[in-house]
Amino acid sequence: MAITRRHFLHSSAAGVAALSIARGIMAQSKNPNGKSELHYLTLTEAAKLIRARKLSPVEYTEALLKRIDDVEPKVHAFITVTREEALAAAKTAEKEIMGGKYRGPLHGIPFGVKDTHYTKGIKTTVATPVLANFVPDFDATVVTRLKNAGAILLGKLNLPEFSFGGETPGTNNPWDLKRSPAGSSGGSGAALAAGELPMATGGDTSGSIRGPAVANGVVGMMATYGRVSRRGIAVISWSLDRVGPMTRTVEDNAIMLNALAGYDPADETSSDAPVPDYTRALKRGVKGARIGIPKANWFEGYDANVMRGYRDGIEVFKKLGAVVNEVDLPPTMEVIDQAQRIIRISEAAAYHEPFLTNNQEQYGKSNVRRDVEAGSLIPAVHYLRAQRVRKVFIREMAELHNSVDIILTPGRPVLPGGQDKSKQNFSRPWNVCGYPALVVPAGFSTEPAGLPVALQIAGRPFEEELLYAAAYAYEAETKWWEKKKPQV
Amino acid sequence: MHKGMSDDELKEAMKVMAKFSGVNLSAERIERDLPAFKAYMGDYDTIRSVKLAVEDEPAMILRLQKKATPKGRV
Repeated sequence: MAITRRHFLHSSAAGVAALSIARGIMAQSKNPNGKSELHYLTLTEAAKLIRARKLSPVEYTEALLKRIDDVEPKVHAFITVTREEALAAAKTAEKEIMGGKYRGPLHGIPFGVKDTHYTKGIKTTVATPVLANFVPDFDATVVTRLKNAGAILLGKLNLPEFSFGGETPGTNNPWDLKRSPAGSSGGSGAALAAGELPMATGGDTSGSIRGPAVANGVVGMMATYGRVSRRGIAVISWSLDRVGPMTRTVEDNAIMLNALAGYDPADETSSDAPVPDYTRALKRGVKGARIGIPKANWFEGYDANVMRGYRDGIEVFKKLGAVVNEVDLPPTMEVIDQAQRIIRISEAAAYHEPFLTNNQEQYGKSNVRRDVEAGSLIPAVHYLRAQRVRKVFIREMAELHNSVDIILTPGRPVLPGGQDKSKQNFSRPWNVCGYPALVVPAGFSTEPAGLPVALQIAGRPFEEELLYAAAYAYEAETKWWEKKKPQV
Repeated sequence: MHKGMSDDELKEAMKVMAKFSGVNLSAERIERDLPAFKAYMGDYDTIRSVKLAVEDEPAMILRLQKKATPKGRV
């Protein structure tokens, strides 16, 4: 018997309570005209509806595809939309759920991945002409994990060539289409803000999950190095790259990391540390947590709107019971961006060696070829010194965390499209030390009006739970995402 | 370090290193790549300010451990 959407809804075993939840959620997700918007459901809301059989995965996928059709001509977040594959997967999910095989909160939920992620039988371009026709024969581990959780691949998201840089050429920021969505996971951030997806992955070598999450007003988590497998992800730098979840809310993010995190024998740097249920930590709060904030001189060159959001955020955490104090940052923080650049480009040059040998004329118009060619001339001793400085920095960060649980900074020094002239943007140091860092929306600018700003909440290795607890408490207090959405 | 070198000297060094490393760099490419190379050399000059003990080893493969919960932490 063919499954129909009507059949899915009518076969619901849910009672009055489930209907009540669904109606409440749908009411919250109405646009200013009072029309329900499936595309702005959070992952958590959609999962509740799907589990209660009030929303079919097929209906949901079709609604998001319609949204993509509507806004992509303006946003350009996708490189590839996997329409047919997504609809087929949605039908499978629907059939499984109807048959009583509910896999969990990602079952029937569409997702997108940065186009660095290998997808079996689907082009993986890494936004470069060098790999324009590359079709992997296996899925990246994170793609497999999401699919195994029942999630539905809706497409591949835009990035700069080979993921180099803090912008995403071609993609527009839904909060202001004339502005950049930042980069390199700019397609992921823009698609989330525009309501094209409820969850996406990003990659972070120098701030590339966190920057676009901030610029697009969404939540981005760069978990501890080794926590999420890098297997099947095109490389910038083996020892710096991380993959992580991007969502519109903190709870959604924790649910997504539950699926992504875990040991992968195919990734030599993968950690076998036990993975907690990150959603269990959400309501712990931050009472008594020791939050360290850098001294004012570190914020030279920061936008006034950003600093206002940051100062307000500090007050919110104090109100929530956290103990906030200024801290002295490690001495090596002063030079760590330079060490990061040497490590990043040396490893990138090694990764690019076959492309520089065989495909050098195929590079695009970006500076990637220039940067990796020059990087391939860096002496090994320079690279090793940078790695030794890195070791010192990790030691200093561990010492700093003897006195603080969290380091709180602005998520990004500038508004979307702004030129970063800061002394330290507080992105790269966390790539270098491998510690986790999460960004959470912290309101909007006033001059110019309506652009997102954010906080970065960073902690010790494998303490993502604490970061989620802090971010969830802050989000519950401020509710920025509920207050305003982009008008695309 | 490289600050005492002229652009021509740096380009000559790049040419020799490229040849030695098997990187095919034309004169035009060396010209284009020079700003990036100078930036990397500048970065190296900066990190030379960090005093390293002879015992300080490089962080080659990052293997992080979860520390025991410190006192006072939530």
